[in-house]
Parts: sequence; C-alpha cells; structure tokens
Amino acid sequence: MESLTGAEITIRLLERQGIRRLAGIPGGANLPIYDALARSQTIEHVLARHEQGAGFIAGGMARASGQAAVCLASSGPGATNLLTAIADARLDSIPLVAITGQVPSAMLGTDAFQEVDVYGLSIPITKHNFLVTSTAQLLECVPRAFEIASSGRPGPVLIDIPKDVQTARIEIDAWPEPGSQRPRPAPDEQSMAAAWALIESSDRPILYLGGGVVHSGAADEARSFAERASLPTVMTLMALGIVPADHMLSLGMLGMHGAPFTNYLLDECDLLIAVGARFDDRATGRLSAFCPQAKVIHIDIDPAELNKLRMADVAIAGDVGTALRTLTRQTRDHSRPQWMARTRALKQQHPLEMPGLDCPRTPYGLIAAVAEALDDDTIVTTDVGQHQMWVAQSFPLRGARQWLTSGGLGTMGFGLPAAIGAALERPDRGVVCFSGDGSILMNVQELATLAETRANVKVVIMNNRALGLVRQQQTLFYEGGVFGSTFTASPDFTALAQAFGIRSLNLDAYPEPRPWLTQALQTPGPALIHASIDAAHNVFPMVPPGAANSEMIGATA
Amino acid sequence: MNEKLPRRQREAAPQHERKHLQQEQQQRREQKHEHVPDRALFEIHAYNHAGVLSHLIGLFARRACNLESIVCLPTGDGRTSRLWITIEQTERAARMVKFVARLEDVISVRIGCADALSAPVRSAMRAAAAGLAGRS
Repeated sequence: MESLTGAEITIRLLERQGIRRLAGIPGGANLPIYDALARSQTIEHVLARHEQGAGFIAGGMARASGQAAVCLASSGPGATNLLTAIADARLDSIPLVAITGQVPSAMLGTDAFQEVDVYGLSIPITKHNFLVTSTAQLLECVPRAFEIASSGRPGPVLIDIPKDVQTARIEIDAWPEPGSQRPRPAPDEQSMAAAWALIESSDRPILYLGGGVVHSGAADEARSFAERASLPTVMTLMALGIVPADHMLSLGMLGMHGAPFTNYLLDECDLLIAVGARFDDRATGRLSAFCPQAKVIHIDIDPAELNKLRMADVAIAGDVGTALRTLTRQTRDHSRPQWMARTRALKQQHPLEMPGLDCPRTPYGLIAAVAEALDDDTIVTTDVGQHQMWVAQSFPLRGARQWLTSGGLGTMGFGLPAAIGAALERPDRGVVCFSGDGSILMNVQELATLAETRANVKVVIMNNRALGLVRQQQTLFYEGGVFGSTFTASPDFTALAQAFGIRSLNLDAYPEPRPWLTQALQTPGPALIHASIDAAHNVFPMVPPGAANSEMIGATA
Repeated sequence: MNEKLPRRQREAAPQHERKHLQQEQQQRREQKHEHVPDRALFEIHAYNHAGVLSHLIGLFARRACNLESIVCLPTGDGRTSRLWITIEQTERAARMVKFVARLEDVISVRIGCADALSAPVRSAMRAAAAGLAGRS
C-alpha cells in the first residue's frame, strides 16, 4: 500500500505506459505534475518554448514511432495553445495523449485565473476527452486514454486534471494494467470474398493507399498485394513512401498536385481499391468526377469512413493489414500486360515536369540535392505550403514513417517541432525539415528547443519572401490580385539561427552551393540551411479547388 | 414557442402581436410537417456522466443539423442513460448514426422512423414528467 498524490499517480501511470519522453511547458495549474515529473527516474522532459511546439514535438514522436506520445500544458493559455496540435493529430489520426492542468475543482466555472473550458473546447478535435473529478479516477482515465488513442483509428485524447485532483493523496494497493491497443476487428469474410471477385474480374484496377496503411503497420502488406495483383498504386499525402517512389507500380501522390499521368490514369480505372484512405477533397478533386468509371472497394477500420463521401460497391470495416494479407493470399498472380502498358504510356506522355532539377537554386533542384546528400532512411518532415508539395512530389521516399507532414489540418509551423520529436524518438536516423519562410516563423521559437536538445535536425528553408501557395492561388484564381501574401521585411534566417545557437548556412552566398550543402547536411547535430527561391516558381500541376482532377493547370492534355 | 423569432422582434412585439406571430409560426411548422413528414429518430444508449450529452449534440451542431427533439432518461441504476433524438434531415441519418456510434461514451445506437417510434418517445416524456412529479 502506497500513499500517493494525483500528480504522482499520473506520472507513475505514464511510466507504467512505457513513456520515456514527453514534451510540455509548466505553469501554475500543472506544477504538482511537474513536481512529480522532476522525481521520475525514467521520463525525460523536453521543454518546448510554446505549447503548440510541445504538441507537435509529441506529434512528431508519435508519427515516427507509431506509439502514443504525451504532451503537457498548464490551464488557460497553455491549454488553448495546445489545441492546434491536437486538432492536427485528430485530422491525421495520430495517437496523442494531452494532459492539461486545470484550476481547482471548487473554482471550475468561476472564471478563475487562467481558467478555460478546455474540456468543452477540445470535444470536436479529440477522439475522446476527460475532465478528471477525483484522484481515484486517474487510475481509470489515464490507461483508458492510451487505449482509446491507439485503438482502432488512432487519435488524440485529452485529460484535464484540476489542481486539487493533482494534490490530493490516496492509498494505492493495486495498479491498473497499462492501456493498450484493443485487438483490431478483422474484416468479415463475405465482403472479402466480394472484394476478391471484383479484383479478379477487373481489367484496369488501381490501388489507392491512405495514412491508415501506415497506422496499421501494413506497408509491406500493401506492397506485396500491389505486386501480386499488378496494381498501379496511388498514395495520398499521408501514405507517401509506402510504395517507394521509384517502384514500377508507384504512381506517386494523387490529386491536387499529383502528376498528370496519375490523375489521368485514375480517370481510366475500372476498379478503385481504397485502403485506409478517406476520399479527402485534396485527393479526389470534384468528387462526382473522381474515377467516374470505377467500382469501389473501400477498406477502413473506421466504419464511419465507409460510404461517407463515395458509395462503395464493397465496403469493408476492419484492419487493413489483415484485409491486405487475406487479399494477397487469395488473389492469383496477375500480370495485366495491357493495363501495365497503358500505365507506362501515360507516364511517358504526361510525366511530372520538374524544371530546374539539376540546379540546386530551384525548388526541385534543391530537394534533389538534399536527398542526394542524405541517407536513404532519413526522416523527412515539412511545413505547409509550396515547399511541402514540391517535396511530396519529388523526394525519393522509400518507406513508411519516413515522411511526416501535416496533411488533414495543413498546419504551418508543424515541421520544426515535429522534426525535433522525430529526431529524439529515432536518434538512429537523421531528420530533415523542409520549411518555407512563412511556415518557419510560425513556430520559430522551437529553434531554442532544438539548440537545447541538440537533436539531429537539419532545417532547410526555401525562401521566396511570400506565403507562396496563397500567392499562387491569388495569381491563378483572383485575377492576379496578390494581397497580404508577400513579405517586404524578411529576417536574416542564418543570423536568426545563430542567435539561437544553431549552426547555419546561407546557400545564396556560394556560387557552387552543392558541396557546402552536403557538408552541412552530413555534419551531425542541428543546422539551418537557407536558400532563396525565385518567387516565380509555382507548384504545378494544380487542380483548382472544386474542379475535377483531370482539369489540371500546367499539364499537357 | 417564440424561440425562432428574431430576438428584437420577440421582445418588442406587444402581447397581441406576439400571439399572432406565434400562431403564424405554428402554422408554418405544421405545413412544413405536411410536406416533410419524415423525421429520423436515434435511440441511443450511453453512459451517464458529465459531458456525454455535450459530445453527442456537438456532432449534430457541427454539421449545422438542428435537433428537433431530445429526450434523455437514466436507466436502471443510473450508470447509463437512454436518449431519443429526432432530426428533420432524414437523408443525413445513416451517416450520422455512424458518427454517434463512434463516440466512446455511446454503448449502442439504432435508428428508426420518428413517426413509427413516437410512442416510446411519448411514453418516455410521460415517464420523465412522472419522475419529476414524484420527486417534488
């Protein structure tokens, strides 16, 4: 029998969960938790410089490892600052446990200092949330939070703990089992048989992979299935890397900034096999024109995704890994010579144009030069905007969990803290964070966290002195009315990095930047690399929002 | 009855006009029901603790879906409750039921036609009223 405070119980439960590292910021309402954390022998604390940074550091840890990660914040502004990172985890189905301090129970609802209804605020952006009302309840809530975050379709869970619950002392005679993933439901055999029949009778099938394949740990299964059944494979932004970019069957990313041949081929398919994907509008374009001739098999662990946007001919609720294994076993070896020939022909006729690939001063050229200097297993994070799309289009990704990006929420400011989290989680792999001059400033304070942790992160800033993707849309769709999207004042990013105590390199300063770039990337430890990019570069092709995917700007018809 | 009038009108209208407006609104509502007789009804079994209703109604509010009626009663020992919710947009019901089922605090949910199942809702309301009367 032990007598412990709620804060001590919380930390002990996290230790029992196997948490070895968490990110956060202390404040008045979570000081008891920090006091208990200080005495933990096994949990390392990463002190972020803004709670949103802490949320994204945890997000980066979870994305790199597939395990639920934890972030801490105090009440009020601490908690509200976390919300963006929580919403980001929700939209990309990332297992995250956010623990916030709250004013004492007796003061709830009195507009106490730093009181905000974070329970209410977080309802629509969490998978589930708790407002803990007694210390004993922690024994139930904390393990359940981990169970919920990592079971089925993963997602963020918030635990709001009033200060008196943290300080109250109770006797503990037995600890609950750590929360773990519930067994994933297997797909039902009848639907699997129906799916198999559709695949066997299809002449022009396409496999459409989403982030769910990564979450299910089923990248190998997806690849085997594609190879067995000769399925040209498109990937959503979240799924990039599952089938290596240079694989014969890879069609790369589909949708708004997909390659022309990818979107054209989708127009021709007679069967679309959607696995762990959710028919997001950035992927499908105008839904009524998406794969117009295709029957649809949709496999997802979340039944609410099935028939949500596109009616499926066969809808299968269950674990995508199990489903893919079953299908691979059942399906005959197919070679589909005609469909393969058509795929090759379209690839040749309508390739992704990458102007400037040989010149490291252009977007594609810089990305290629960075990729060349790095190990194949380097983790790549991005911020959000033009640089993100250029990297998604062209970086040679070769495995799941190599590519960490904010897909659903599209959060600028994601890249740097996510890279720190990934680098701490995977010290065996380097991390490169591609960012833009707009995005990096949205969580630039985390350069201090980077300097403190000495995490092996290389930040590559493509600077076009603009919110490039906004400016691109204004140029294309608003009669050239560029407004509010260009910067007249721009910081000296290399000096900024140095101010934070981080090595930096300005590629603009070198007539032949390649060797300098390689040296900077291959030196262990944090570094920031700045490269100016001609503002005239835009991301093409581009499907205008609301248009069909075949209506690409910048693609030859 | 007057909850749908603009607030200023509601406050400013003299008594007799207010009554007139109420009648007019009632008529409109009845007409509407003649044209759209179907309502979807969700029968939900959920845990009974603070915040459950908030999770539940948030799903509808977030999709700009008006709840036409809602009844909630504790069941058995009060650890769970049963809720009946009706909405007008029946075409949304099939999708909404999956979002409801996804909530951690929802034990089960089934969907029925409000017109066919209005008897249990009515009896639930009677039971609620009786319960309140019993307590006072």
